[in-house]
Amino acid sequence: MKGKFENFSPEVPAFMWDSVEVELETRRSKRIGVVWLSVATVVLIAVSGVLFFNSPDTVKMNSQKSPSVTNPIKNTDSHQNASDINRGSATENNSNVKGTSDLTSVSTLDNKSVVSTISKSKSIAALNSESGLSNAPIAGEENVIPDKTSLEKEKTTNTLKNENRLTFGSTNQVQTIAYNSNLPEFLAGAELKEMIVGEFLQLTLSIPQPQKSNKRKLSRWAFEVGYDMNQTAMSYSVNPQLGQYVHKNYLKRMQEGEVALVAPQLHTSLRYQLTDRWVLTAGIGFTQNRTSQQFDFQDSVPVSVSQGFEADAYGNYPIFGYAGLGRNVKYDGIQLFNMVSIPLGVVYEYPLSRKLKFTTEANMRYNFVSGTQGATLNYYDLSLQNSQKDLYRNSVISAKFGVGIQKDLDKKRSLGVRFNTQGSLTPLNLENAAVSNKGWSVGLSGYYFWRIF
Amino acid sequence: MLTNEQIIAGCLKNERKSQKALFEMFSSKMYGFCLRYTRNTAEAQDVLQEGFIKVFEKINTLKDARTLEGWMTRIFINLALSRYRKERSGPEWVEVSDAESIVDEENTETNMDDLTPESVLEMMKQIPENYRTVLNLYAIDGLSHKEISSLLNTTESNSKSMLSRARKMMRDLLDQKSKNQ
Repeated sequence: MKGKFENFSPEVPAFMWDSVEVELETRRSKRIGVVWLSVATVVLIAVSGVLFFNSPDTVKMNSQKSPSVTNPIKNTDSHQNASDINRGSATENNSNVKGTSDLTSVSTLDNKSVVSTISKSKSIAALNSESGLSNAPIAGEENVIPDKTSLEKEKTTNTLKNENRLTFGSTNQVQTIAYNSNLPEFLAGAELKEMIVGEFLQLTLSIPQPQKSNKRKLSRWAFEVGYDMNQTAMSYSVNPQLGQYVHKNYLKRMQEGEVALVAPQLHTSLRYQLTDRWVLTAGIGFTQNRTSQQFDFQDSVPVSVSQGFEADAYGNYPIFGYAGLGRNVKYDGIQLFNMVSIPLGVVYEYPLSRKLKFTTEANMRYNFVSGTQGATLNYYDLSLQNSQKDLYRNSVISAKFGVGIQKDLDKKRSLGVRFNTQGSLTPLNLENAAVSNKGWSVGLSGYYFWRIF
Repeated sequence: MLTNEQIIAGCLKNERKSQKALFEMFSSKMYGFCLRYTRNTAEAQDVLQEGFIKVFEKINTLKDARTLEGWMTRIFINLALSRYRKERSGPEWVEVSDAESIVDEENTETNMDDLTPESVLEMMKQIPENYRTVLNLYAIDGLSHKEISSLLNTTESNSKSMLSRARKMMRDLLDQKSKNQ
């Protein structure tokens, strides 16, 4: 027979080279994709790191300009006698002027008419015409001459309201005129009040001070790194329709021979703070599922038939009997499943105190089986077989649920731990295999994240 | 015409021209090899494609250009056997006595003289895959039972038994064929 095939060179179909070329191109693209993914991850980590370590400590405040109000006395209109002004309480209230933003000068003409400048270019008259301000009292309100107490009260109230107040004139004759109108948009929230005090005018412009806050304008985006250390195990179940394809002692042998080990898992992800309590996460992770296999047994050899039956995913045919003992199966090793994961998740954070939060996490992972090592038992004849990658699906979907505590280290950085449980939703074995095997695990996760952008 | 060294150098640089030259040089022989170890032409073409991809990817591990063909053959053997292990199917064997395993090899060989390789291949396709694999490894590729048992993760006696069965089946098929003619 050897001679027959020594020069056996059948014609190769013409399309074969094209197929090989296409496959080479596909693999090249995949390699390039992996390289780019790695580069992108490194860049992401680097950028996040730079942003994290170089973020400014000061908070960007509201863009409101710092108060700059000139002394109304010095800016008194030339028509006004300076000495008259000095008789009023302007000096007393100068301190209150601080904080007024756009008011740059105030002047009075006489008891009845007011010409006050709110900005360098706008007179109050112009403002009045823009905003509909009028000197008319509010309907139903009478001109009131407050006594000293009421003035003090008003002052106190105004102070509490962070009011900026300009006062001119004496207090022996007071007339209050309130404006029933809205101010222009750029003075949104301000209240304008005029009091005629004797022959002088008391003009009060009340502008709410921007609330000075130490709160950092927090980014919704954060970068997270985390590590899970789980106790893992594989569970095996026989497909009811394909039960006759599985050796009668397979589950027993696997149960005896398998010892669950740990499944370390490393991930990095981007977090997006959807609301105060809800966070969305997406990232990339690497998982290694480790299971110890220790076999030392001798079991019966299955005898199968093929005619009229269909093979399962591994080409096995139904077993119709057993014929004595087969070889001794002896093995002591560790089976590894390496997976690259893409976790997509949602986190709920419930504040327990200012810095502590109770968190729950649920995520789904799309896992690519990147490699396997070790050995396992063939479910058909209990022979030892290498855990080759092509015995398993290329990808499986898994789910994870965790609850834990998170501590905010500062405004930007947080650290957390969770108790988690996770498991595969799709079996590792090929579709239409007689045995479904799913991995599951419980353990602890630790994670750390910092806000970026 | 490129030499082996030039082809290998080109393949190392991932040059498509050199890869194609290597394919054209060895594809026919390797295809014959694939046909012997698989159940049908579609599978053989799969193995051929997979094998050449592997050859191109691993060519940097080739130490001596003069051993190129042997090195490629080993890659294809390993690939075919890995496929065999994965897709093992058909009737299982049981231990047979040594007496039963003694088969008249010469008789089988003699009867095949008039057959073309394609006809022998057709007959081989009719015997179970595990028997055919052992027959291929032993009778055509010249491996010993010890090597076969190691490759197939079985015992030497099992290898002998399977070879014996394979030859017996081939002889029966030859008889049947000659009767039909």
